[in-house]
Order: sequence, then C-alpha cells, then structure tokens
Amino acid sequence: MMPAAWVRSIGSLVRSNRRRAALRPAIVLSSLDSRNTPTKSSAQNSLPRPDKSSSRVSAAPSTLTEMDPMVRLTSGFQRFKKEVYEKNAALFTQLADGQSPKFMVFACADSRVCPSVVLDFQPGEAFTVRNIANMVPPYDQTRYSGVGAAIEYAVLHLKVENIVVIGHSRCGGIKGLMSIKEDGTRSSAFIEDWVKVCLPALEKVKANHSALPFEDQCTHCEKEAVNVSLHNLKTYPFVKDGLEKKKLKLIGAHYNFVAGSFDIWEV
Amino acid sequence: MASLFRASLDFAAFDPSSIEASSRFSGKPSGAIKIGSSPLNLGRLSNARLRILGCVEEKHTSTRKASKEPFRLTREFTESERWKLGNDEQDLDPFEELKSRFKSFKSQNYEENLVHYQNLAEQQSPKFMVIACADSRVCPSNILGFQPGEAFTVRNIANLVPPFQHGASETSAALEFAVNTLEVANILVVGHSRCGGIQALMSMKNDPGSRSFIKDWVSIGKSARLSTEAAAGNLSFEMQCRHCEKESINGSLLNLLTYPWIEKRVSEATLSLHGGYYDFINCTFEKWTLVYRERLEGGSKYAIKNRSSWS
Repeated sequence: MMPAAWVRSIGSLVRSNRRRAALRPAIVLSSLDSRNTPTKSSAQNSLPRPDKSSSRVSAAPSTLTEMDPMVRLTSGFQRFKKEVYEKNAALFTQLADGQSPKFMVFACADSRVCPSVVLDFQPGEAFTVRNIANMVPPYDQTRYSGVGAAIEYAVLHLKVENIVVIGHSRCGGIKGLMSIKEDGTRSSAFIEDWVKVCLPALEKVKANHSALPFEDQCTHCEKEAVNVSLHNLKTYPFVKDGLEKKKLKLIGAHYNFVAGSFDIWEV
Repeated sequence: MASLFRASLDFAAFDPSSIEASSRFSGKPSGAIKIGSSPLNLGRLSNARLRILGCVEEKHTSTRKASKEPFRLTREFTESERWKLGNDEQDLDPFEELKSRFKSFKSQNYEENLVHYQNLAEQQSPKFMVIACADSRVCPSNILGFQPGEAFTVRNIANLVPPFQHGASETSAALEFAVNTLEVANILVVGHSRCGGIQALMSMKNDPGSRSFIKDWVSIGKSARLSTEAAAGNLSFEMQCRHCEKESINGSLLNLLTYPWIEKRVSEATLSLHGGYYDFINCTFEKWTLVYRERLEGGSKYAIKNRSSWS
C-alpha cells in the first residue's frame, strides 16, 4: 500500500511531466547535434526524446564551447524556434498577451545553475531574478532598487504565489563573503559590498561551524544565506502583506551539483 | 523563530518506500528511479498535449474579444484565464512540484551528462555574460539554448545596466565578477518585446509624490526614453515602447563602457559587447555588436556592426 503522499507526488509528477514535455525538447548537451532527430516513438508528440547516444555525445560539450560565440547563439535560437516555439504556437500566442507566472525565483548568476534547466521552468512559469549569490537585501527605499523593483513587480503586479530563493554549491559569491578580511582590507570594488547583504550568515557560520574545513563552512553559509534572504524578503511591506493573507509562500532551496542533490524547505 | 520543514532529495541515500512505487509504475527493478521515461508517461503525452491545446483554443477566442479593449502591453490574467492556463497544476503543492522537477532534471539531464557536470563542479568558464530581463517568458537558457556552464546570467527588470557612477549595486558586483574573475569574452544584453519595465519607463509621470522601486529602477533608462520620444514621438504608444526596448539595450551597452575594467578590455579587444532583441510575438531575434573606437570615421567613438536578424 503506497503512502498517500507518494501517490499524490507520483500523480503530480505524471501530470507535470506531461505538460512540460510538450514544451521543452529533452535536453541538452547534444542539442546542437543533428543526429538527435525525433525517434518514431516520439512522433506522436513530435518532441525529441532523450537520445540514448547522448552519453557518447557527452564529448560534444567541449565542441560546443569551442564554437564561434555568434554561431552558437544563432543555432541556439534556431533550435528553440523550431523545436519549441513553432510546436507550441497557441501557447506562445497566449504568452505574447501577458505573463502569469506562479513563481518568482531568486537564483545565482552562476552559469551552472539556471533554474530553467535545473527545475525545468518553461516560458511563462517563473519570473526570475539572478544576481551574485542569489541574495535579497532588506527593504531599503534608498538603495537596491533593482531587487526592490523586481519584488514589487512580481508581488503587486504579477501576483506570484511563491517566491523561491535557490542557493547552490561552490558559490563564488559566498566564498567571497567567507573570505572577507576582518582587518578591513578589500579585494574588490563592488563584490564585497554586495555579498555583505548576507553578513548575518557569515556570523552564524563562524559562531557554529568554525571548526569545519573551509569548504564545509562555505556549504553551511550557502544555506544560511538563503535563510537570510528569506528573512529579508519579509521586510518588504507587500511581501509581509501577501504572507499574512496567505497569498504568498516563501521557499528556500539549495542545489548541490557536486553531489547531485537538492534541498528544499519552507519557512 | 520560524519552524523549518526540510526535505532532502539526495539520490545517494535511497528511500525504501519509493522502491515499490517506482517498480509498479515503470516496471524497472528496484533501486532505479527513472522519472519521465515510463511507457505510462509516453502513451499519455499526445492526449495531454491535445488537452492543453484545447484549453488554449478557448482562450484564443477570448483574446480576440479582448483586442477591442484599450491596448495594454502586459496585463494580469483574470481568474478564469489563470484557471485555463494552469488547470492541471492548480492543485499541485509548489513544494512537491519543485521536488519532482528536480528529480526529472537529475535523471534526464544530470545523470546522462555526469562527466560534464563533474567537470563543471570544479570550475565554470563561461564565454558569455548575459544580462536579460526577469520576465518569465525570456529566459536565455530557453530562447538561446544556453547549457550549464555557458553563460553567467544576470536577470533584472528590463535588462538594465546602471552606469559605473551609480556605485555599488547587484549589477556592478556581477559585472566585476564576470569580467575580472571569470574573464568572459562576451557580454550580451538581451531585451524583448512587450517589456513591462520599459512600459513603466515610458508611462512614468514626473510626480514626486508617488515613488516606487519600479520607478527608481527604470529611471536608469531615462535617456532611452528621451531619444525614443525624439525619434518616434509621433508613433503609437506600443511602437514607442518597442523603439525604447531597443534604445535601452544600446543605453545599457554604453553604460557598460563606463566601467573602467570593461572599457579597458573592450579597447584591447579581449571583450566584445553585444545587443540582442527577442520578439516573442513573431519569434525573431536581432543581434548586433558594439564597435568602440575602432578606426571609426569622423571621430565617432561608437558604431554598430554585425547586425543580423534571425527568423
């Protein structure tokens, strides 16, 4: 007898995979390879299915990175147009009218952690802010208008239902925070100022985990910084209001691409 | 103190309660959770897609009616429209939804390309820094196909770059990291059609009483608004916004050059600056490169080259 929660999650998985498979070609690193043409079994839904030869084609990534950058962009766009846009014309007609994402996402600018890839967000699903170390500064009308504007737009205009802050492993911004010198000497013009938004995370790690190796301290800091950002979100009046009215949910997460794991928690 | 509910999805540690469930659905021997590849899922895909299109067909009719209303570039969907869009996912707990999406990514992408991810875990060396809008419809990974490791990506409202003189900010920190630490070879600023941020910029009135974060932020693009009004002031509001969307990309490119470390690398030709414009109404992409000081006629400092349009 399967636990009820598992039944629900399998059901939701089947439903969500159905819909998402209709929009996104199944990935990824062999995507520019003309060998990856749709197989017969996928003819019904006319989507490329994962090519089993992709493990062979994993040599392709180095080929991709050697490609001329402009050629890379052209081929990336052409593929999107052919495999996704034109095959979902009705949806894109709808999206052209307006967006109604359920999620607002804060993710790091790191090239390895795009939430559209890791969490398979399709066009229209997630209003996404990306900055160094996925930080949310506290409400301050005199600064950080970039983040403030994004939250204001997402909560008041788009009326998102969930705000997710996703940290990740080997984050250079968190490493920079952990490396800030106590004697006040600076090694950067702007990076240190920015990552100090999550100074409370550094302090907590130093208080509780100073005996650990530096890399483990960084991992703790990556997660603590997400909590600091979630706490800072609550200082925005419109977020606080949404939480009180139960129209908004805050979720924290940490993507570990070294271990291949994903922690997720609600506040 | 907020209470935390933590769920950890670590595939190294196996959940025994999932074994029975997975083998019932996929027929695979226990020990393997493969999600999204069972015959059950494949068989239902075509029906599901027709169902989605069926929902959208109804919406399309209402769109034609809506076009008689005063034009609004970005609008919130009504409750019934939201229902049609997300009907089959309305009852999904977002927490569970994100968990299941990661499981799919892990099995269909991460594990299929493990060597590549292990290399990436050691370091990233992207060739691109991309500055794109936070709009849910324009993720550069989707529209330009960027794979993990390829593009260091900043996303904010209206893909704006404040000038160096504005001082410390999230954008200046990202520029410093991308250019000085990662040493990207290209910065691409991507704008798009029907941008709510540009619309806000073009609609802004000079009213000191009403302040908002949005107004403060989009004011960065005010020179784009001025040049738009000068060049296209006689056109419809929608056409002016479209013009401003492209002007502000160029404004951001010029603001990039106000950063000394960027200006230096562009002069030395180790860094190129590009603009891009994604039109999701027609599905076209225009791309151009900024030329800086390079033997330009008449003493110009800037020019555009390699303009191309993909459709």
